[in-house]
Amino acid sequence: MLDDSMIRRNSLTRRRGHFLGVFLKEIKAFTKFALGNIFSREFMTVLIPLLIVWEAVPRLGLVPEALVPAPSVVAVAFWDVFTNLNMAEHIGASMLRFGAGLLLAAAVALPLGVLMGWNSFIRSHTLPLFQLLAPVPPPAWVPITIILLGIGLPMQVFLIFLGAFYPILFNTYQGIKETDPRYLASARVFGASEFTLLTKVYIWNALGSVVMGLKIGIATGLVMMVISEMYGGRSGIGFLLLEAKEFFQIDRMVVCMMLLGFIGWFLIEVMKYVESKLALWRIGR
Amino acid sequence: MGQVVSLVVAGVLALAVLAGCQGIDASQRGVYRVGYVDDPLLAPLFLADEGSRSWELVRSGSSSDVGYALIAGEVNAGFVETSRARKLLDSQGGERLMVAGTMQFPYGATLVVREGLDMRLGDLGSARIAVQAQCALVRHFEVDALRFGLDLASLNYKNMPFPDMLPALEAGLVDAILVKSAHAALAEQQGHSILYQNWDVEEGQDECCPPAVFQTEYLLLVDSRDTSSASRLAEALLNASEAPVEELRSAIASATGTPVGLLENHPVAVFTPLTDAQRELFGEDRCLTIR
Repeated sequence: MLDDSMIRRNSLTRRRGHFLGVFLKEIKAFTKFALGNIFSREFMTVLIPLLIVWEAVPRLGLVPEALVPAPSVVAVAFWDVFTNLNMAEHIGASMLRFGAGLLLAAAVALPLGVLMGWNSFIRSHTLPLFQLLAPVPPPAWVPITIILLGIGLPMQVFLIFLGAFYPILFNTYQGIKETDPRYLASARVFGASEFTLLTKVYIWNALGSVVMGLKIGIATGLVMMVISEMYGGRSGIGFLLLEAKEFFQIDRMVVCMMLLGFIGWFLIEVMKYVESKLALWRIGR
Repeated sequence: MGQVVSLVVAGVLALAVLAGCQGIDASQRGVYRVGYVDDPLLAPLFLADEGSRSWELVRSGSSSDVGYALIAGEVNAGFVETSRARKLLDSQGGERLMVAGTMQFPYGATLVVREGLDMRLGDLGSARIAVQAQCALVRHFEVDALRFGLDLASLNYKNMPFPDMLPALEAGLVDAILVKSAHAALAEQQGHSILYQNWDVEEGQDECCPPAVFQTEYLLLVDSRDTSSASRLAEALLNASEAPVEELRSAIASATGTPVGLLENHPVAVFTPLTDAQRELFGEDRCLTIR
């Protein structure tokens, strides 16, 4: 006979197995979704000729090989960087900074954007300030940030935060503000409270804009990550990029640039996948 | 149809990349172009540029940018910081470059203390001092510190490369930095004070100061395709180096905006031809003979 603890354990194991199954299924679906975009026939017809031209141009001496390394040279440098420079640690360090900065930006900008779009009192008191500050290019904040936060992780996280904050804030605000009044009126007819309107109408209506803000925030955050890693620290992809630049290792520089491009592409694909899961009605647009 | 459009787009992109990569080579411009950075250590260049000259100065943000301008053919000659110049000479694209001379500045060890900190050598036990590991400066500083009765075991060193030190001092991450004396004027300009200076540092086998390029702050790299213009430039720099120190200081002040008063406490860099040891280090065929 099975006792209660055995039944509970079996049920827990079954539930864990179920979650793992769902997780693996989602990973498989995401991989198909993301790779499907990049390995499409349409993109290949652009990518392959570009790679051939890129390989041929320096090899034929049309541009100096020293300044434009061919893809085959970059591939060798890629292997060299990964085997000799402890690349996994550098990527880990960069992702830690980037993740912290992006999460902080999303945690502040999303609720603020919702409140600004929803309430005209909050909007009129805060929007002018952000509109004044947003045009200041994030790299211009570097000296003040160093003075206030020193050189180190807090300064780097803050700079990434600054890069990602405004696109997320303004896209969220715009998405909320442009909620179709007919949806709001319908919900009100059914007695929806303001809180219900926020959680069931405004936010879902703004989902596309929010995801777009996050995508732009990822791109600008990555720019700021590279800038922030040029100061103080001796780890991260930005540091490797700067070091390669300072010591004329152009092939390594291209490796770092491609790696940053890959990380940006991957994160944006994640956002697109999340959007496709949450906003089924947008699929196919 | 879609594939044709994609191919056309790819072709246009490739041509744009190609067009973007092809600049006009400096050797075809007719003017001898010299890359430099705004650094008081280039005093002879600033003074030579004040007289009648046959070159055009091209300012860059960093000495590695001067290096890229050299390999891209944007400039015919340029001053590149020593460690970077050595890498550039060995890197792909650097084969065409030759060394025409060096910008020398007395080596010296300087301990700069952060603005607002009132400190004497005896107080350093509680301070965070930025140093470059395995450097002759540290050894010379420790010898002097022992003489002043400081307990070496109490020193709190933070290892970092020279370029990171001044920003770290500015940010308050360290209380003092032990730098080459060439950094001293810049540190003073930013309000920090010099606590200790020793100009009698001898060359060592250290990573930061190998014997052949000891005291060398910059190398003048030139395009080997135009050695006559390079020789004229080097001659002009040698002549400028023989000018009175006041003239060199005044040239620095007008070129970089550094107040003359601040420069009065420091020696001035001079341009010198390559020594035998340097010729051996770089290889005879990579060195330009000027005198």
